[in-house]
Amino acid sequence: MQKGDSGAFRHLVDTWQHMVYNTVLSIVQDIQEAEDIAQEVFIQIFQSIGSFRGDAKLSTWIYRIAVSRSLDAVRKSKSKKMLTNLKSKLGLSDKEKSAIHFYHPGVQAENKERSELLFRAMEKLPENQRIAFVLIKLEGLGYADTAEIMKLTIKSVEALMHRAKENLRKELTSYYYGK
Amino acid sequence: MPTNSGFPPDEEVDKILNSVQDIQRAEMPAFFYTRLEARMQKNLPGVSYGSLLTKPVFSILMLCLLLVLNITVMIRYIRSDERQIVNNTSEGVQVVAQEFNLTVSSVYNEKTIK
Repeated sequence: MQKGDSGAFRHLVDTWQHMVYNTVLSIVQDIQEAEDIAQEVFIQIFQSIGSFRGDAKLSTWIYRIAVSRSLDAVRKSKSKKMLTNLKSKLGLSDKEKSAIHFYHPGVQAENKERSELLFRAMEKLPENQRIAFVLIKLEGLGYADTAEIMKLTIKSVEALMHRAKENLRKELTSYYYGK
Repeated sequence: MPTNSGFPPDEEVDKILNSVQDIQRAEMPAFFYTRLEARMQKNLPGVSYGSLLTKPVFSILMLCLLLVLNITVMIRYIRSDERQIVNNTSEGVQVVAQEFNLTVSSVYNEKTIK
């Protein structure tokens, strides 16, 4: 792969595409955008595989790229939304578009509405809590792997998860009470 | 709507939080590699000229080649200019000599006139 072998690159894509897609999709919550970002992740891997020294596991390195690309996209879309909201308040553009509901493709039919609420609440989480929650709960990684990806200690990841659950509970409860 | 579901909020919130355990991993849509390959061919042509130009060996080589080309063209231009001047002056002398009959007639010519 580091010698520019296209067969090896194809093998890498085949092996990691679902994991990259699931991680990116769970963070950006947009099916179209998730595939675009996944493509960018693999292009970055192709371009920078020479700089991969093998200090970390290959999977950790790929997860890091996927997470950072996804966070960049989330930040961009947040600032875009803020600009659109500002414009609509100033009467410079059409009315705000209503929020698009996101349904994760891996959700079972009977849990569709519940998981839609969960993903909406996840959007409100701070970045670190959101990443920890996605990697542990949606990607099924352990605390040690998540800590390595996030360059944190296991205790910090545990604390992040605890706060993430608390914040999600608060957000969902306030939604139920209509606050 | 969840507010009308009849569940006490805490119980419903727990159900929502637990629903994450039933979510299966999302799978990449089919033929992803083909689309990725097409995008890479569009964005990364075989040899990128930008990256070539940034390599010092290549840029120095190109600079030397340009210098050599410039010098040869200049030398050729100067030489051809000198030749033209020489040709022009010799032609000019001949024209003036003809105009004023300054041409030296040969002995052979004189004999034939007589």
